[in-house]
Amino acid sequence: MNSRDQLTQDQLSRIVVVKQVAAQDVLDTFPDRYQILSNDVAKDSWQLLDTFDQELKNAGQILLRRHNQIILVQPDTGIFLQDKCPKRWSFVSELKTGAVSQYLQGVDPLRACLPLVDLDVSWQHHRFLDDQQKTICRLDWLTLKLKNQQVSIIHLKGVRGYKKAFKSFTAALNQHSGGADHGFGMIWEVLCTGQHVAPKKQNFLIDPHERAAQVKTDLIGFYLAHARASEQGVVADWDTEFLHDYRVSLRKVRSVLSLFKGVFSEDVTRALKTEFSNVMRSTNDLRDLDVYLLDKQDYLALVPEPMRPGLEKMFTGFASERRKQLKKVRAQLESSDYQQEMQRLQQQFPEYNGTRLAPSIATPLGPLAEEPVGEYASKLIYKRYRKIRKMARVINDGTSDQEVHELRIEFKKLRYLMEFFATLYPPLELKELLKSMKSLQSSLGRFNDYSVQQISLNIVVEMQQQGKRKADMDIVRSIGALVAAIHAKQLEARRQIALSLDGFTGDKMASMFTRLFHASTESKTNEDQSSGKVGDASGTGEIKAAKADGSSSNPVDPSSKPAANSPAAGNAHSTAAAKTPAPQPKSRASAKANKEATPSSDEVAATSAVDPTATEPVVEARAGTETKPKENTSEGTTSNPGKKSTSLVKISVSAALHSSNEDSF
Amino acid sequence: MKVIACYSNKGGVGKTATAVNLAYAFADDGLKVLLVDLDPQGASGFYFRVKPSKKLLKDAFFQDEKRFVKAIRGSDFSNLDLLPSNSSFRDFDLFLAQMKKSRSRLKKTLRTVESWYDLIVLDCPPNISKLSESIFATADQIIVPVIPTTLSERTLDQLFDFFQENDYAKAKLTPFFSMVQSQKSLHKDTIARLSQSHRKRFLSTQVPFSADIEKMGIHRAPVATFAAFKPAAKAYGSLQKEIRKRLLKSFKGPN
Repeated sequence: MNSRDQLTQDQLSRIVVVKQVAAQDVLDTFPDRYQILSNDVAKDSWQLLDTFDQELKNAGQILLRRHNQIILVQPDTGIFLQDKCPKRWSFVSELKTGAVSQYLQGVDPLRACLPLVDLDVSWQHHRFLDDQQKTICRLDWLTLKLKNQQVSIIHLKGVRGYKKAFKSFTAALNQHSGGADHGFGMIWEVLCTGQHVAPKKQNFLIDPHERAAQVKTDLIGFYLAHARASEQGVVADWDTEFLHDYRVSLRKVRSVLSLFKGVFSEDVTRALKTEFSNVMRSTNDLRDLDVYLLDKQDYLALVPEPMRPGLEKMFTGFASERRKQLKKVRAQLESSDYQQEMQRLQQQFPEYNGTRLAPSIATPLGPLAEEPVGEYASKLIYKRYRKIRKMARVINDGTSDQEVHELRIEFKKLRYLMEFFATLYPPLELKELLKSMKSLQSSLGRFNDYSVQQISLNIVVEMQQQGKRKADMDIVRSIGALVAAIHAKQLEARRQIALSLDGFTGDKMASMFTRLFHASTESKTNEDQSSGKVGDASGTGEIKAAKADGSSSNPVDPSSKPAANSPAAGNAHSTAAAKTPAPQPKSRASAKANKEATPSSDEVAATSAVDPTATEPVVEARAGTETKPKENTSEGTTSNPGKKSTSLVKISVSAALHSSNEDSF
Repeated sequence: MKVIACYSNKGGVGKTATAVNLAYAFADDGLKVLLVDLDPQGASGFYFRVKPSKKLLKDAFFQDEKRFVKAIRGSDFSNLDLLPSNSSFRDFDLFLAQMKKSRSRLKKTLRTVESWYDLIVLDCPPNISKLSESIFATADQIIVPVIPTTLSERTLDQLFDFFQENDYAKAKLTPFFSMVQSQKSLHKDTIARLSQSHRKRFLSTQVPFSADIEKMGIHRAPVATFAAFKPAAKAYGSLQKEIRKRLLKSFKGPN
């Protein structure tokens, strides 16, 4: 084994980073019995690239671009050059396999590599030759310059069998780098000072004793700032992830608003929800088209070869519609109305990232505003879990899709809650719990994706048949084939749900939920009442009882009752009840009602909220089609005169597809 | 890991040139290659500017794994390493004669570096000896350069006879025409006759007699590195492709 280890190359490789050191000064100190051959590999000005999420920086990689070449610097493996790249590229997937791209597989394929700054680059390759003119060591010297700052990456590469020479070179090099390397982090420090990027994850700690109202404000502030950080990328259309992130952040804001019941006053909660959903709605169509176009290849693969030209036509239409929608979204985000509205909201919910600014606009509070958030969170999560378990028990192969959709929404709410409050709980246990929820989550997501896709595609067909111009039979036929393929997939996903549900309703899951979200409150109560009982024991009792009945009227469960009777819960119920049958004055009332009752695009935020301003025809049509595609579509078309043909395409496209796809953030 | 041997029981047929250029071509093709110089004259090492291995003395090649590995040198080309010989290699027959299971000795040594290389190319001394028998047993393919002359024809026949008599797999023998001068009628006739009598055994590539191959001694590098577009370099390229094909087809691994 020992003998084999000697062959490993890493012993013959050393990389150091130095600041403001000239190459010649170092080379002069190398043993002079070797001849040096030098050549320039690259020079001139190169663009430093990274994605918006700083994936490259986080991975310790430095990526440079000039014309059709790219250079990659990695702390462990050195410096690589790849040429014959496309002149213009944004996504790693656009690069052919090569010396550099093989190391970029970790970069999100949907994120553009954006130019950050131009650097003066000089990369020299030196070879050291012995008396036989044999290369016995190599050295790459790459210097990056920004104004008067410069940093060099030096990679010394020994040759197998010439270890002595390598050692003497390493010793010489160490004199200059002071023995201790500056890390790769220094390169970024030197080259990109003051560059600000919003953090991707909600990574601040929540103090369990903090007031619920404060935490709610913090979370809204965090996600609002996050959404705003994406605006520039949406407007510039760097990649589709900016809009996706923007919408995910806004959806989180809406979820915090609606899920944290009783913390803000009812009126203000409703008004805020309306406001945020209006902001978001104007981006629905663009996102739908993005999702369609991103999945184009998958769609094409679903239908047999002869059906593909028809789909290609459909996608060409989508692409041109996307350009229009992008213009619209740009105009909206750049409008002074929007800017003012956002500024006002940020005054009410200042950016939060662990440090807090006092809001300059106060938010009227509700009855649970002062609750310590730790207990409040556990109650919310546990209650939601119990509710889902109850719903899940009655689901089998015969249950209607409608019930599966309802389950999905509740499940999503549960997941959101667990994410918002994640830092309150032991990370490993929470991670394990989330992991075991994963299979159900993904099968529910797929089930919804497929059902929404079918509906929206059917609408495209309806549009074709009822539009002014003659229907394009190519498109209609191809979509028919596509819908059939998707339907088969949906049935499969439905079967998967049934399988995953067993795990979710099982004892193991129950004990995990109880331990994390219930045992603490319970053991506290027990401690107060009788010190003889231990939390663990009562926990077990609770599981048994839960198994036996599953409802919240569990005698061993002292905390669930007050939760169920809390004003927040009461509110939620009555609101929902009042809403569903609410009569609508407009002709598309049924559609509206359906939207509230069924999984709609914005379900988490929308289900418990009446959205009084949601009267835009597009949304109504979308919502309606989710349950009654045919009726509503025909109704939609007849009530829309022929001149609105573009908006018909728009409706068809926006038919709720995006909601499902955004499950997977 | 596969092993090919460049071997001929006749000297001066272009063995070392074949070993060096084939090793380079395989490395250029993306395989990790070790060229092992078994010839005490050390010509392979000379072509790669590598000095003789000072510490791999006596029977250390067969007995001392650590030294064997330590003696390996990286060439100036990626994927290509070299084990240089030294004058003590001429006593290999002696050492092998004293060892038990001498036929499998070479294979055992090469296995030390099995995980590091896809291919080992052996540059062999020109005789039939204990060492050659070790080579015959070890190699997956034995590449035999044949100058199309009567004398070479005779030595090739002798080699086939030897394989027949000693039960070595004749299928391993892969001759090709080397140092071909197509303007000579003797070469043409010999090629025609041998191709006929050794049907399918000869590789179709012929390496021409070439000044460029001789110039390897001046450049001290494989011919493809300084005369890439000349016929000689191209011939070694196509020779490599043919051998790769046969390696993939006929042998599943070292037998």
